[in-house]
Amino acid sequence: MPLQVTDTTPNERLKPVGNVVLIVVDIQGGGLPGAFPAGMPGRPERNANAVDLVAAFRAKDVPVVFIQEVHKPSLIDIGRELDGNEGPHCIEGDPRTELHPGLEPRPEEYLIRKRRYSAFFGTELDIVLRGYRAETVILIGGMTDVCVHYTALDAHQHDYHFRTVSDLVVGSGPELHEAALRAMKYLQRDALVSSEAVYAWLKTV
Amino acid sequence: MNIHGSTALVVVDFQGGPGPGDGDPEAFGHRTMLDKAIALVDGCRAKGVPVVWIQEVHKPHLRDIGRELDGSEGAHCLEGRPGTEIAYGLAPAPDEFHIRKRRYSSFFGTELDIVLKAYDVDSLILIGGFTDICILYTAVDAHQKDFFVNVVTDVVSGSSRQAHDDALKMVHYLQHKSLVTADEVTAWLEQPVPQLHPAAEPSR
Repeated sequence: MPLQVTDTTPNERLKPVGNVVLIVVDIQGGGLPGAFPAGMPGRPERNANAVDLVAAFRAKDVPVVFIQEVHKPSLIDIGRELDGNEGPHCIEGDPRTELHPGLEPRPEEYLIRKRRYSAFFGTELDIVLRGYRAETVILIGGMTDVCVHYTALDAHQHDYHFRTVSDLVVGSGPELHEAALRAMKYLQRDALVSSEAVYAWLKTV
Repeated sequence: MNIHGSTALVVVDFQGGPGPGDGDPEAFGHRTMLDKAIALVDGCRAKGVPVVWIQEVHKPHLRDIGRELDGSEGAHCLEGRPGTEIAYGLAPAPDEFHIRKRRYSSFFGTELDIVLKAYDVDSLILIGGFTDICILYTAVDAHQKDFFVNVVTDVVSGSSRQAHDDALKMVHYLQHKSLVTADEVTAWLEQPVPQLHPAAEPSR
């Protein structure tokens, strides 16, 4: 039988392979309070840390790609996303659907809008990553157990190495957050890293 | 049951050839599961519910293994090994699709979506393994492709008990009505099943 993952302590070394791209997954809310269900605490601090991390990548000319989930108010594009835990979300035109302030893409950066959970599903993400000749993607954002997990899965199936920054992702709740961290480490044993590990690697770039 | 329109049974990686797959033959009641799987396949065929077969395979030289050695699994599902074959007692009929895959999701790099379109199905019943890998990730892609998903909780097995339980919670997050039992599927099959596809007329 495969090894069971029981420990989700993040690695203190990033161990990237080849070129690296940071993917910022669905850090939305437009800076407004109550934009997301408060399944886990610490959102203001996490978002501020995400802004700092993006700045650090830009300072080292390591590419950053922004992902934004959007749906039309008519919900024609919502698929089966209302059949489970979530209600209507990320409605175009709602200020809470905008990216968190400080995470605005620059003109030379890609902003990829998606209508499903995986950032690869029906999007140009794979094309963009190939353009950057990326072999390793670093994931931050939310939610750990939904868009981050299923983006990590597709990165894995597309043969990318992926690293999920444990302290910069947030789940729909603590239980599924932990379950998704275990699932991602099952896919790649080096998948879970701390933000310190990312900063330590950036110093070497 | 989480059924809308017509339905297909997808048998995911029910492999192991002559005996139970890797590991403890008693793990997760493997023999019981196999008997239930055989009964569900027979029941679906009798009612004209199409059965689609998925089999994970990799070449012995592992050029196609991707990143699957970077985590918890070793080399697996090698072509030519008896244990890679579909479990004895289960076998695709000549008119059924038998789809080989080289990644975890049954949709990834395969013709599954084409086949399901051909059958004009909106709902899927999933059995097989692992619950937390190929079942979960097939369910995720099915969900993203707008299918209604039914995972038969007593006819799937996980890489570990905890991972199995975690995965069922993740499937439930996606679609609240998606967790069903073999008994529920059997009871559903006893009802009139709508919209038989001509290609899946009962033949047995």
